[in-house]
Amino acid sequence: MSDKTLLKVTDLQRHFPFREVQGLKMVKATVKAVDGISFTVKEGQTLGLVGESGCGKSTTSRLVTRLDEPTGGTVEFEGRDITHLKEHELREIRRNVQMIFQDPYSSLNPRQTVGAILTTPLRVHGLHKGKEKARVQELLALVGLNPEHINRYPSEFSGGQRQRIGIARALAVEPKLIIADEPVSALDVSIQAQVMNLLAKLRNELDLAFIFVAHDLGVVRHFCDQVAVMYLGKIVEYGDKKKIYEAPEHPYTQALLSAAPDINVARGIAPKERIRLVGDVPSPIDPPSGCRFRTRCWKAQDICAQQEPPLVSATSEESTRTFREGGVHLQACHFPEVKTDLVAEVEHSA
Amino acid sequence: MGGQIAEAYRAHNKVSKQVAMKRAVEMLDLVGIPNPQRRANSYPHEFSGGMRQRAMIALGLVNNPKLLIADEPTTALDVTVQAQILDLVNDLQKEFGSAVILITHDLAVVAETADDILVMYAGRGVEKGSAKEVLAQPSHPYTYGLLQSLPSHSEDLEELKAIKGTPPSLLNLPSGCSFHPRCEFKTQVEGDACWTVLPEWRPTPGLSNREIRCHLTDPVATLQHDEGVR
Ligand SMILES: Nc1ncnc2c1ncn2[C@@H]1O[C@H](COP(=O)(O)OP(=O)(O)O)[C@@H](O)[C@H]1O
Ligand code: SF4
Ligand SMILES: [Mg+2]
Repeated sequence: MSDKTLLKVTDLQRHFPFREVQGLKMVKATVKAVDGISFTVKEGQTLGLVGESGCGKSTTSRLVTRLDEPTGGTVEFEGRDITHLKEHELREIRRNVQMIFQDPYSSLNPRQTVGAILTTPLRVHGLHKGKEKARVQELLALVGLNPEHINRYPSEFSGGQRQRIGIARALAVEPKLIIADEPVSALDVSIQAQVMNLLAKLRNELDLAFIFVAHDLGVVRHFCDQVAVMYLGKIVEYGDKKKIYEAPEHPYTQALLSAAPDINVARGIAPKERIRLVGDVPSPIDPPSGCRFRTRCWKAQDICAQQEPPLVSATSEESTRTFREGGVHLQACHFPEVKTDLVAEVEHSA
Repeated sequence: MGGQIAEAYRAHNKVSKQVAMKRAVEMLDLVGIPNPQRRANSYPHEFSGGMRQRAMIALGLVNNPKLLIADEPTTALDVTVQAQILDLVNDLQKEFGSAVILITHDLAVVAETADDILVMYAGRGVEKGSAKEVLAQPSHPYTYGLLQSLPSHSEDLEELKAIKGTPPSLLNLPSGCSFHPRCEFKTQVEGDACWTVLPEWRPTPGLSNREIRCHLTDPVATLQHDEGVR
């Protein structure tokens, strides 16, 4: 990982306006899908985005790839503000930032051969002119598919193989940053590890940066350097993987980690202490005031309804300031839980 | 939702609509749905994912079944809600004494909820025994491969230990043992049994209360050796 910042997201917001029927009236309402989040991704870095469904992970992905336009905040790629660029101005971004989708079935055109699917991005960007076929075969080999299968249709491939095609399509234009939105969630368990290994291999060989979106905490822990935990359109905790998993400070992160069932129980390891949240995630149309987690939080006090807790370091002012450069542990709770021994360890090694 | 549950109750009990509705409300209350009286009048699409799954459990239990079959009951749910539903199933099982068949692809869910496990591959069982024992010490190459491929099993390794290949089509099953095209251990079986003979259930040598369908002579030793080598 170099120190060069590729992507910088500041106070990113996406509100979806819509009309809904309330009683006999049509009223205007807003889904606050993403509501003010900031993070950076450096060259070669992998940032994990975790949280339960509806917290805004896919919307964030679509905003930073500029498949969708933010309603607030900024997105910068290599120092250039791309927040409101028009489609024809996005050419270079399309080349540098690519997306891998969750569903390998619906994200590929069933009427195009693999060859056609992979040639299109080359044509659009004028790459490998006259040698497109050779490049397509090289891409197929790169993702572990048979280059001879260039004339086959997506339906002739298994789910895992289709996801490989999706990966090849993303790689065709030699991007610097890949946003992978739940890339293995739809795959057979026995195939997930293969695809994860492929992504890891490509990341190393091609020096790619990743935003890796997943609800599976185990997969994120395996693959990512930093992790951002989202809840109802906000980042509630952000930091190095080790800190998030071993010393979570925000109650929601703690609950999320403790809710994940643990296979080690079978090996006689005592089950983790369980935090059981009550109820479901509230609607992003009318999120709770103050801290959005307060309706499910066992620590909530009056202040939690009145003031929104900012995303800050629980231990020192200094690290808050250096956040946008990365490498710290931030959380957004009025009553964070700080593991003092780990703080000492981290500060000692720093 | 209440109407559906009441109807299911009336299908097996000669009671009035009112009595059945009262029973439905009780069931919704039992599975932890707030305001059951009011929610009984809501339609399934008006429930959140977790609440809908609770209502489905109420529907499943309204006639005091001896056996409840839950097919991927938490797969569509988030982990914090999944944990609630699994707790609920566990609690209700104690209370009602029903047996539960939990169908899932998630081995960790099995580890935390099931007494016994049957591991299936391509339409057939391949290993069975106590859930905790099987997951702690698998004796079939497929069970072993699945467990090895979990990220939690190789936390700090660059590469996950993946099972190679893909699951076969059920229309065109491989000859012999269905798992043989993906099995790393088939060369340790003498002759071509893995290619030609469908293994029968047999007790795993050296383990009590365990059965597998695999030709390996001493699967426990073979898999233990492999784990040591890796
Ligand atoms: N185009 C849209 N119009 C209205 N609401 C949307 C739209 N896209 C997403 N949402 C809403 O925004 C919230 C966040 O969705 P999403 O980003 O898909 O979450 P995640 O990927 O974390 O599951 C959800 O409540 C979702 O229903
Ligand atoms: S700010 Fe209050 S409600 Fe929010 S997580 Fe912290 S203690 Fe809980
Ligand atoms: Mg999503």
